[in-house]
Amino acid sequence: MKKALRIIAAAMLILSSALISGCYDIVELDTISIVTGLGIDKADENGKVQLTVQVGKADAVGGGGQEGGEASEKAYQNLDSVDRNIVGALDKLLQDNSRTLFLHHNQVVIFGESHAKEGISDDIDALMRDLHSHLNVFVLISETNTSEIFNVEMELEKIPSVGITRMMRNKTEISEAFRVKMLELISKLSDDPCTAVLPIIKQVKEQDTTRLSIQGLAVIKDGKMVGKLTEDQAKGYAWALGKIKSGYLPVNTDKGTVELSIKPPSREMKVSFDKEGIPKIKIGIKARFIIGQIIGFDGLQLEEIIEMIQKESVNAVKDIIISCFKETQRLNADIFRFGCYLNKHHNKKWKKIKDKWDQIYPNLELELTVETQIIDTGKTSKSPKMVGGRLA
Amino acid sequence: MTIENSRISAGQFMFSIACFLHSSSLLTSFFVIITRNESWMPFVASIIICIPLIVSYVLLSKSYPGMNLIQINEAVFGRVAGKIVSALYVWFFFTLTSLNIRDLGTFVNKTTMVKTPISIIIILFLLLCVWSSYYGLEVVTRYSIVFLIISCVILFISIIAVYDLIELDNFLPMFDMPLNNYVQVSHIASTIPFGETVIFLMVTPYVDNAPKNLMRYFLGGFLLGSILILIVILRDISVLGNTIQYFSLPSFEVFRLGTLFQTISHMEIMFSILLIVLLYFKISVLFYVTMLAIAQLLNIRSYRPILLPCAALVVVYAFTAFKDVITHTKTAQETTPFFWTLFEILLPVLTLIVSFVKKKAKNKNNRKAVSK
Repeated sequence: MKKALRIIAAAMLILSSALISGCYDIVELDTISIVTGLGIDKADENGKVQLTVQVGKADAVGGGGQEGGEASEKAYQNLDSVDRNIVGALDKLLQDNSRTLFLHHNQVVIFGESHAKEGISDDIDALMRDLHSHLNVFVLISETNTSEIFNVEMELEKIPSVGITRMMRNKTEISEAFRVKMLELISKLSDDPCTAVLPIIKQVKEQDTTRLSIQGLAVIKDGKMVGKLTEDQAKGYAWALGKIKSGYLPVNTDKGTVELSIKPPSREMKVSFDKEGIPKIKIGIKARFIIGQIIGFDGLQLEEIIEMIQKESVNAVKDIIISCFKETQRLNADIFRFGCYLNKHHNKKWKKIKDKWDQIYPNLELELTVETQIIDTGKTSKSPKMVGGRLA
Repeated sequence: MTIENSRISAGQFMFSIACFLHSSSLLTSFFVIITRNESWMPFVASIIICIPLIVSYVLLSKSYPGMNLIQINEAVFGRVAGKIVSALYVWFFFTLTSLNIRDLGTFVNKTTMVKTPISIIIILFLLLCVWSSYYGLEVVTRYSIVFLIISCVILFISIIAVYDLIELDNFLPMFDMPLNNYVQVSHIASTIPFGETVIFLMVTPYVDNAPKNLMRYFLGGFLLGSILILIVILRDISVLGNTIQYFSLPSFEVFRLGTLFQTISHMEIMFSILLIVLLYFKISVLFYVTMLAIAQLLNIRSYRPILLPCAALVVVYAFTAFKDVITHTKTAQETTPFFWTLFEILLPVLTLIVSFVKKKAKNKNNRKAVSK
């Protein structure tokens, strides 16, 4: 009798755990729309924010079964809403929608340039506070309205925002400096000096199509966008931080041009202080290259070519770093985070100059030493044009 | 008359302490807000400070072998004063249980089950604790080692998952804050997770070969548990850096950021597993100890009849203890450490001193008696 009771009780428990679990927090796939991208712009109305939410359609992405008829159907939908701030705009979208917005799998947050110039800190607070938002999303700045960016169709990707994420992944394979995720942005914006960079995404119009391109970096200071770095300057930024991972560096000499394939460099930084406590930054970079292509150099031996380009490549690297550094000095935005480095490694001296940093930075002295080394010539040691070790 | 008849092995005792402490790694937000990326330093300091404290617990238990805290109180302070001190302790245990179960409710509510009413989570959870307490100490502590292994595995996986995000620079600058902050954090850390081990004085008599091995196992469990929390704190700081001050659950954010091979991400479910497993253990130990203490105080033969009524009280207390999370954090930072100091440091040390003096006096009397 007792045994039978026990079995019944156990059976009831197992059944109840299967039947009555998750009543409250049940999330069914057909009641949510999965947000894949968020765009935040300045609205036309004064002081208001325009929020663009890109929502993926699960059935259109996965629907490989029926071909033909559905081919023209978009796999995404963009929802717009204008309100006092992004929380308000999200709320508005929620009320006018048949499905709940599911922010959990959001991939990318894009700020419109005009909005970023007025400040993004308050939006970040909302994005950080929301339970479902993820700190692992890429953050970008778009030159045009974000709803246009989200509408640019990609040949190979069904959902633009997912495509943008993949583009970002490729970009960061080349230069780590482009990898700015929400966590890093928050961390940088809560540091002192409060500066960060965000990649810029833009539309490139070609004959009858538009495509997206990620080029250059936006400079953020005190939560506001203050300027831009060109793609070359962005590379200089990555070089200065030692965060460049691959890509090519063209080196021009009188005799010809060499394309050098970049290998991850090593970088070290030292600081010295003068009598008044003004720092002087020393950056040493050891770059390593593999020859990617040799153009020209008629009648020269490989050793000679290497000697020439070694010298020239030092200047090439220096040039792009200095060009970037000068631009940040002009903007007075310490994106290299020298101030942060000083705070961490020379805490006491930093405290003395902290308040004057905005005056110090535009005149900061940077001593750059670059060493380059050509470690390999690629798969071939001689080019087909070479005869007996000489380029014919 | 003994209320508890089952006995546990010394190893079980050690792992129980470790597991009990490790569950507090979820509560690091109390102090990371204050010292941010330097929290590990005052934490290490408080580990060192607490070693003598643990030694004094063990000495106390050793000088009264076979007695639990309530019995010791009576033996040291006499019948009336002892009862008063014991009643205070019962209140302390009771409050700890309620606070922890409320924490569990809030965390589950915050992280996984947003819409589920907190009362359902708490009541179901407490029923489980009642059930395990019903079968006594052995059942309550039996799974400590399993839970500890589960949580260590999860800890290990999480470190691998966030390995890419670890930046050692995040620990700098050091000693950047006023001394007060470090002192405050050391105080919080030594009272909120570490000092709570005072509850194990209730179960020391039921440990096999208690007086002999106690020192080794108590300290061992303490060090194991505290080092595990330290690893958690180091991981959180190295990943989150200066942003650690913003989050009410830093570990949760770390788990969220973790990715394994680009395919496995959103690992917060692991955090929930950890949360539920560890807090289940902590709460059931606390609940069991509270029941044991009440039964001992009131001289009841068994604590079983009072399990359910007390569980109901715990639930009510959990809801009324504080009105919202903000107050809770505020109290945990500013008031609780001082309250807990009384129970975790002052009273045990006082008890130890009084018992020491009493023994001395007794020896003197004995000697006098012999010499006469």
